[in-house]
Amino acid sequence: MARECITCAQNIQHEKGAAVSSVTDCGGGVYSFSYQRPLSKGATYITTKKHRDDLRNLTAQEWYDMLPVIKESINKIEKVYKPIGYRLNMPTGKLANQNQPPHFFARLIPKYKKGFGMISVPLSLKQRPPHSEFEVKKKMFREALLPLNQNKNGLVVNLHDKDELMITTKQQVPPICLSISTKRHLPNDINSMDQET
Amino acid sequence: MAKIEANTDCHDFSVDLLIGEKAAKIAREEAEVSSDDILYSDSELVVNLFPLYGGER
Repeated sequence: MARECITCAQNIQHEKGAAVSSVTDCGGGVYSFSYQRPLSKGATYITTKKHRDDLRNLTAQEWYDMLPVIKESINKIEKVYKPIGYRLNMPTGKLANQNQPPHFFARLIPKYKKGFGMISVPLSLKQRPPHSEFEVKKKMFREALLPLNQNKNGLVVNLHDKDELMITTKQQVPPICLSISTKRHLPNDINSMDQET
Repeated sequence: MAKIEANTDCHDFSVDLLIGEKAAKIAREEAEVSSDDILYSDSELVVNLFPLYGGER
């Protein structure tokens, strides 16, 4: 498998302790390593050790293993680079640039200042499908999703369809957005999140 | 995600978390979204799920 898959080959190096790019491994099915060509200092990939096309294929244990890896990676980045925050992006499917199958990966991109790193882009600067096509898609999503299954497991899911209010990157051109938050106030700090959340 | 895939022709998604209140505020400024219009507070840890269609690759 290692001969066929470059990430498996890298994982073997990582397990041997020979990969210079390794950042964090908490002993689970997920670990993190630094970008070879970072778009922001300290940018880190989080990936599965086993083949998983994207987050839809992750096991419950891999979901469980991911948060400690994210937290420890952030702690390490904090010590060296001291960014003001992060964007954690999990691309799913070709349009989202999930371009490294068969291993799931997420990007942890530190943010230092406005306009640098993985930047958000105003609606006016995006290439979008024709307005009428977007309206049809929005209607389709509303009909498919509403009513939302609110308050499940202490979580609240909201559907937003005003694209001019969505905070998205250039690649993200969504007809709608689902925001998932906790019923109780959850401070915007990764350390406030636990596996149960 | 499963509900969207089952009921629409969308199979691509982007999941985004803006971690840190200052980073969330800057991202909102970059997107030219006013704090008056914001869908959720910068001080709240929120997971955003975007179903994707087309756009730049």
